[in-house]
Amino acid sequence: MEMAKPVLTVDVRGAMCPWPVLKTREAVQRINVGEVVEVLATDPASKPDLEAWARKTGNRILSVEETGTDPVVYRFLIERVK
Amino acid sequence: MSEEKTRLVIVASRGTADGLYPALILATTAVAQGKEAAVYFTFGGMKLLTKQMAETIKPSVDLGVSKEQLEQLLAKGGMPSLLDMLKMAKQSGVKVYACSPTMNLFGLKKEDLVDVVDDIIGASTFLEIASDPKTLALFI
Repeated sequence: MEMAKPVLTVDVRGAMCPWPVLKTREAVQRINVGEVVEVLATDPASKPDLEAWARKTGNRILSVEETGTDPVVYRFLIERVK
Repeated sequence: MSEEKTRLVIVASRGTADGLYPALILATTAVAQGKEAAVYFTFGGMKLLTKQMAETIKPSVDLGVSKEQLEQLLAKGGMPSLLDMLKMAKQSGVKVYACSPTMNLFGLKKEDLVDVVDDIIGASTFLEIASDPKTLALFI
């Protein structure tokens, strides 16, 4: 499969819990099933929190990249599954 | 309650910023995870539902920062005020319950409350809601 192209970006860098999850959910509700949203976050809890959210809601995290230091930026690609 | 959904209900009993933020954060996140969520505000927690008091809520001594310091720290993390957070929670679908005995205790009327309250309930109704096997109940 080709690397999915995000149709929407959620930039929650600097925001703490619960914004990464809440804003991601809002974005995922705005896109169609099969489309992908990109999430940029610096909250260190964003990775476990989004993974738990994806498990609970049945959406799919396609990739997680970590770049930089101080702060680390997490980049998620998340596919709307349902 | 719908058949397939699980539910989170929280008793918010403390009238401090550090007592109320966690309740609202957990409830809004539960909705984002596809659960139903409700917060039952009682005793000190009722301050947030009371028009005259909602803006005056301070952090507890235990937290070790002043109201102003906490507001600055929260703003840095993009966190809205408690009242805005309450309104957002309500908008996202969190049910808001006010405690009838607390209102009685402090002489509060429905018109004294912030316009987010779904229902005024007592212990028996809360326990019925909390007793459902698909419901997780937390006391904060």
